Amino acid sequence: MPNNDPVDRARHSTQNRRRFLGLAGATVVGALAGCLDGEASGTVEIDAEPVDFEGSALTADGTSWDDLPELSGELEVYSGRREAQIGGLFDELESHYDELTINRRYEDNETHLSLIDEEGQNSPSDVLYTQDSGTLGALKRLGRTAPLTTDVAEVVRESWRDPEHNWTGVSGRTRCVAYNTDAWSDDELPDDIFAYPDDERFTDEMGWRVDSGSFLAWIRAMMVEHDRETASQYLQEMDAAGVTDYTGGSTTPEALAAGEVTVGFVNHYYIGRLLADQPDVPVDVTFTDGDIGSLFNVSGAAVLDSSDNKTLARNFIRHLLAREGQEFFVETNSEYALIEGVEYVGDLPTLDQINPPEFDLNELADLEPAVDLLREAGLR
Amino acid sequence: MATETSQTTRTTRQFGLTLVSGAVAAAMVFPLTWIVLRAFSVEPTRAGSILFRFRTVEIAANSIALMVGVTVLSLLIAVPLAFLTVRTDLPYRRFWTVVVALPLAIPSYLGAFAFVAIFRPQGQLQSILAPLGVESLPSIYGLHGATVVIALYTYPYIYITTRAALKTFDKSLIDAARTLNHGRWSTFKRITLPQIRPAIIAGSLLVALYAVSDFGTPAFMQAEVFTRQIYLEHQSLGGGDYAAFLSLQLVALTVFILVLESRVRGDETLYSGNSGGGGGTHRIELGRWKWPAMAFCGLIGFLTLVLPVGTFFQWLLTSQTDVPSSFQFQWSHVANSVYVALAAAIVAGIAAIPVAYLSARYDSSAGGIFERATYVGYAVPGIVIGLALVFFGANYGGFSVGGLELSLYQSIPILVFAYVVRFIPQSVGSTRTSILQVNPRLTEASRTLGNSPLRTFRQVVLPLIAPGVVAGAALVFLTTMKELPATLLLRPTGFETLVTRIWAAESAGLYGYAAIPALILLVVSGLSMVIILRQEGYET
Repeated sequence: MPNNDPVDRARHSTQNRRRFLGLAGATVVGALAGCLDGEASGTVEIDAEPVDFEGSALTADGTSWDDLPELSGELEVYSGRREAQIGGLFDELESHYDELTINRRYEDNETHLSLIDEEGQNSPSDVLYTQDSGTLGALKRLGRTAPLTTDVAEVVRESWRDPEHNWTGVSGRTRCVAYNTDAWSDDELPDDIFAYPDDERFTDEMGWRVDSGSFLAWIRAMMVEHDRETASQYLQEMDAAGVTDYTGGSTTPEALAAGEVTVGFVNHYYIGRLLADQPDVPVDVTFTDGDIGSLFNVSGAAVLDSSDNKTLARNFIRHLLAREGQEFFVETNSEYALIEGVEYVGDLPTLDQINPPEFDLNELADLEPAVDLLREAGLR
Repeated sequence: MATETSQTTRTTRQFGLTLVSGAVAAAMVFPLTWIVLRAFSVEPTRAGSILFRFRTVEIAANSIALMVGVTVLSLLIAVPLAFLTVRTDLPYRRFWTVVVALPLAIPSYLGAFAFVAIFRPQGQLQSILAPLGVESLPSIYGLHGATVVIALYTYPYIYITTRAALKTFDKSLIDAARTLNHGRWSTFKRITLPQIRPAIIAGSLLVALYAVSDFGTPAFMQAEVFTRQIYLEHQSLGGGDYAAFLSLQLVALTVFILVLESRVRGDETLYSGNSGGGGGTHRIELGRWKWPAMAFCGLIGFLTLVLPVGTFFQWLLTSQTDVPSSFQFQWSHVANSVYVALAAAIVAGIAAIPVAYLSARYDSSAGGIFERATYVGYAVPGIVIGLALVFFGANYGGFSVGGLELSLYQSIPILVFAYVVRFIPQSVGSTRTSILQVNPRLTEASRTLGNSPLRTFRQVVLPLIAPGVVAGAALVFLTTMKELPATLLLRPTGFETLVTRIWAAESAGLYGYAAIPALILLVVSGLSMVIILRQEGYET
């Protein structure tokens, strides 16, 4: 139902916000009782039926862009992924289609979410493209998503997308243990993430970035996989072990390269890119074995409910999941493809070699308990 | 009879001026209503638990410590520098005058970045010292590091205002004091200091408020203050409510500072018998002291200018492959930066005049309140002003002209408005000081000669205060050039400025591509600094 009254729209936005905050409050209680599941998002009405697609279906082998409907017109993308990571793909799409213009606004994931919330139904954005699944889950909880096409569900496994078709992952990354090779060799490092804070060898040697969505999602995953108490204790022990909190994505890898700290907990592709840029730096990665320390998470995208260009937006997301899109993530960004037909190439191990834990990313749709935990731990 | 009439016109005039100045103040405070709106949408119990927890106290204490530390350190740097460059025979005085003013042209987050790269425990300095057995430097992370870095990049506010005051006050007073056998120190304390005190306080206010509003530096230096926490809350999906509360506390702190400042400001009758300056000005001969004096200037210049510029050049040498073509430098980025900064400077410069005039010339409480009100936006972080204007712009910014749907949202006007809200105090302060220096007898004379008030203002007052207005506008220009958070939120899509390019390159770790825009930013801002220093009038 189109709504053109600005006051009403603003109120609508405030209502959503209240609902969201109300949920957040409920979540605190729920988490304490240890019994809350993702179904709480049912209070916000969202459209859960996927829509039909045009052209060829996406396939796990990799559909070619040429078999998908042409993209034409102006698309406004709010991107939490940075220009250096993703600008090239947008450019490639624009040069593939003469009639396509992709207007990009780059900001932090969470800032985009705040923006969309403040903008209400007047948001100029068609697509929110984020670095992590948590922000997309939060967007859905705000009731601001629109369903994707049916073929998306056929190629992306259910743990990497919203079961109600409101967002999907498009590329993957794992948490890893990055280390300075002058200080450590692979076999000296524990393959259990919880062994690090206990081990005196690593006191004052560790660094990570706590202000990112990835970190938040990771801590939330730890709370889900284990429990709140375990995560809380882990954070306290890491703090006691003198872990350094860095700001910004590439600061931890740089600190590792400089030897300021010798062990860092980061997303794998930062190291992949560091090694691609400067092959001589004394930095390498290792992975914990099957535990949360090598959590697999996705970057993803969703169509906004307020978009007046939904067909183009849906087809844009299909292009990201087609062969050329998936190859871009692997070749340019050192990320993992989400469809089976595109293999990882690069300096780091393939997904099969790493053994990340089986984890349903939908469990991360509500990050508020993690935020509260980080506040409690003095990290926020 | 005649006096009565003049009394009524004066009252009418004051009434008109009060209206205009009130409108400006209201426009400047208006975006802040959003904070209140957000804070009040929080459930009371949650609000209580947010407000009354130890961490809130800790953050407030840290913010106050940062503010006090930065202000004191800035005073210790700025006042001696101003004195050295105005009142002594310091060798190469003109050179030093410009050099020690330039740090204001460098965004403090870039300064912080360079500082961290060089002075961090295992940074570049440590690797130079490593052969001497230095394995690690003491940590610069935390409140102390943030205090030093912010002070080094904001002290020029005090330096500039103090210089202007030192240059304009009547030096014959000093000669008189010296003739009466007062020693140098006693003369400084009894004659110079009271004369330059309002200027020092005005500069300190800008420094103090900047210190609490700066986001980039505390984030880099890991200092837990309001701005960093506000940012972190915005990073915590749905943390906007807590962010609003923190912003509200920050505003409360600001209002407290503003009230405090107006208490200590005291008597400000600055105008002197003649145009100032005049009389025999004896520069203090430094003698052997000129070496330590130059070393002091040199050290400040080295820390604040040479280090970051050196870092930028280092960046230039890093090679990076596979970079999207959008990272290539374009002159349009410079043009865009200058365009919005110029627009903000002009709007702020003009809007500041009625506010400054009312508060300087009329002894009304409204004038004082309006003037103070324009300062509040300056202490609120750009992301808060940005989000507030996103809300108002997107939801109420649309209008139709002859069937054509237009929106203020993500447009240049709303961006420029955000800059004016953030930076107008610099213009108000500078304009106000220059109005205080105009002897009211001059306007009275003009009125006696039959000139209308408006004509008097245009022909007598405006030429006299023009340097102050221009200097204030130039300060707004300079800070707008550096502004990042509100720019990112409110700019039209695809509108790239120097800072948005620096941000894009830096956040991607592509430092090589941040270097050129950073260096150009420095040159353009440096030029505006020269304009500011020129407005001090005659060059001695």
